[in-house]
Amino acid sequence: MSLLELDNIVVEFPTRRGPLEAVKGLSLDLDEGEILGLVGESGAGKSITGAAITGLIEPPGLIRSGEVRLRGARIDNLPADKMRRIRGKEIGAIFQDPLTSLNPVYTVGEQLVDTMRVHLGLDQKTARQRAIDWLAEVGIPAPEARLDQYPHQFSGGMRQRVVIALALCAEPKLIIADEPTTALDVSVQAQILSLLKRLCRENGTAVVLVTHDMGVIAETADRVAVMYAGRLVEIGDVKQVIEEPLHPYTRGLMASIPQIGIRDRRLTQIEGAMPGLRNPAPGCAFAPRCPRAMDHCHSIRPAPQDAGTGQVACHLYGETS
Amino acid sequence: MTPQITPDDILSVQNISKRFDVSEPFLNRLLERRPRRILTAVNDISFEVPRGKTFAVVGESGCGKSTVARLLMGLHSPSGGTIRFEGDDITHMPPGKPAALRRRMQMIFQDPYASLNPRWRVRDIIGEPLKNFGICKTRAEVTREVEKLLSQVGLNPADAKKFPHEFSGGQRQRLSIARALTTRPELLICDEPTSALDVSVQSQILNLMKDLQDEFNMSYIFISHDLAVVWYMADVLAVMYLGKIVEVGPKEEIFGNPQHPYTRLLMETVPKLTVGGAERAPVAGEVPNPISPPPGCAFHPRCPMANDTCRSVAPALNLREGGQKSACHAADEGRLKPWLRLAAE
Repeated sequence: MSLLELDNIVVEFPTRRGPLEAVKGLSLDLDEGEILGLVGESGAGKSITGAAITGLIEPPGLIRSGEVRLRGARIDNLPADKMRRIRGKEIGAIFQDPLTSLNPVYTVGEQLVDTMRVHLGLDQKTARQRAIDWLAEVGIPAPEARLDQYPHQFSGGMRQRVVIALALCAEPKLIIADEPTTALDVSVQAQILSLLKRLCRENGTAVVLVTHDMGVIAETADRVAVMYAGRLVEIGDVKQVIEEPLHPYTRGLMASIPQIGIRDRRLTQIEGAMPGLRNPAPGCAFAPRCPRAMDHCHSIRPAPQDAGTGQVACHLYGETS
Repeated sequence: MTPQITPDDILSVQNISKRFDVSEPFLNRLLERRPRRILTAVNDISFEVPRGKTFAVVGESGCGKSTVARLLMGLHSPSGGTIRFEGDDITHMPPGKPAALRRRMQMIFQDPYASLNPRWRVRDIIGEPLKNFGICKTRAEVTREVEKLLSQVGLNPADAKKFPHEFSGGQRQRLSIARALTTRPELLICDEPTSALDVSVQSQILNLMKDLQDEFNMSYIFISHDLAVVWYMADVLAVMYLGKIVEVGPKEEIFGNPQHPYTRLLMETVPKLTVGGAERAPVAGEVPNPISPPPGCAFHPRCPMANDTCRSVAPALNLREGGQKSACHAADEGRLKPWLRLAAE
């Protein structure tokens, strides 16, 4: 049984002009200890997918249909207080901005100790010792002294280390990391990614890594799911998706990234922009920008089908070709 | 050093500095006996921008790269040094003055959401400089020029009547570029123009900027934290760390054989688009607080090559074999290891 299964989930936001579907029927599964990269451009629905897993979709948004299952048990329809017990204990979360995900009026130690007392039932003294161990584990120098400091006394990279410690200290089996390094400088980003990867490997924690940065995915993930306009367009092993992507969108995306050492006069560009969520076209959402679009791409929506090491939603693959 | 400007340089910067007073208010200082605190954002840097080329400035947040852009545009006034544009000293000119000269340099900002007035229509945003600088005399001329500019940046001339919120991020950055192009500038200062954009849109904007550079023979000062983008755009490159230029020179030389450990660190930490490469041990440490930079070479606490000289004496920018300059004692003394490039080349 997979650790996490998303079964055809639809996330909807009611608006004055009718409902908007931000995620339109997404299915995914994740094994224990696996790092799944979830990539896409802004508006593709990747963060909403992360929020759907943690049950943190902002009302009035809601999961209209589909199921989220953690170890086979549905978690998308749980009442708020039950879900709150799962969050933190079973599913940890790391967000983009470490300053807003820490409480500014509590010391870092209090936040770590509270988390462990609530979720692991430890007493104050043990929890405090473990908090020190965790700070040391995430590479914060002088952890005993730092424990009693407030988040504003830490630098950006150090704060994100604290957030990682906070997400891992209750020993969850799954972490949702939403753009965990986007607010950081590259040299710090490398430190944080390697830390996250090492700790998750050691503790057997699975990660859903939401990011727009293909470089981050290439260095961190085992499998990659590419989203476009609320749908999955391609999923497969990281090597395949990064080096030999199947879907024309993934290909265009990979080719449009400037790379050091490659001498090109021009970058490959995908013309146009991702369509809005309103009035979705009947066919493939990428067809208007696709260099290989065929007639039926504009009228028939491709379903994800097995290809390579995973699945791809494109008419170029499967029974028609 | 004598101010030299060769005919090939459009802009020459000599020893500029910018210090910000970040002290607490007077009474707090008096009562709590706190000293004045000065943040040196830009510390005595010099460079030349070659005509028709792209001069890129890279560095991490807080290194002073955006302050450099603002100094050049006259948005901050420097605490010392001189800025010459086409040989004219513009260091202490008030912002926007002299108009005849300032219209020859323009700026594009990072955030296309914040840099366009949300209450103005596109035709007013782009039309204002046309009227201000007297480039267009009549309303019909303005309309025609706005439509021409819009199509030059890949937008529809009919977009002139829309408001900024009707555009996507990439389209708004195109609007910023169109607005900057109104005065036919010779120097365009771009402060992280694509870092708020998605990669597929980023490639469109970068391509557009290259095309416009070729078409109008503009010089760019391109500020970015993304080395891959800089690799694509730059001809000449300066790497900044804590307000100082640590390495400057032709792009090929710096990427091919970086002569400063910080440049090497930046290059090593760029995520590579290859899977299954050797796991790299990331360099520890972060950028120190610029209010109290470390003595000697500011990079020494993070530098694997640091010795006692590095901890006490600030290194000077010295010429290296490849043609670039770097400020590093290890390179001066030949202690810097040969650079083994592991990239996609």
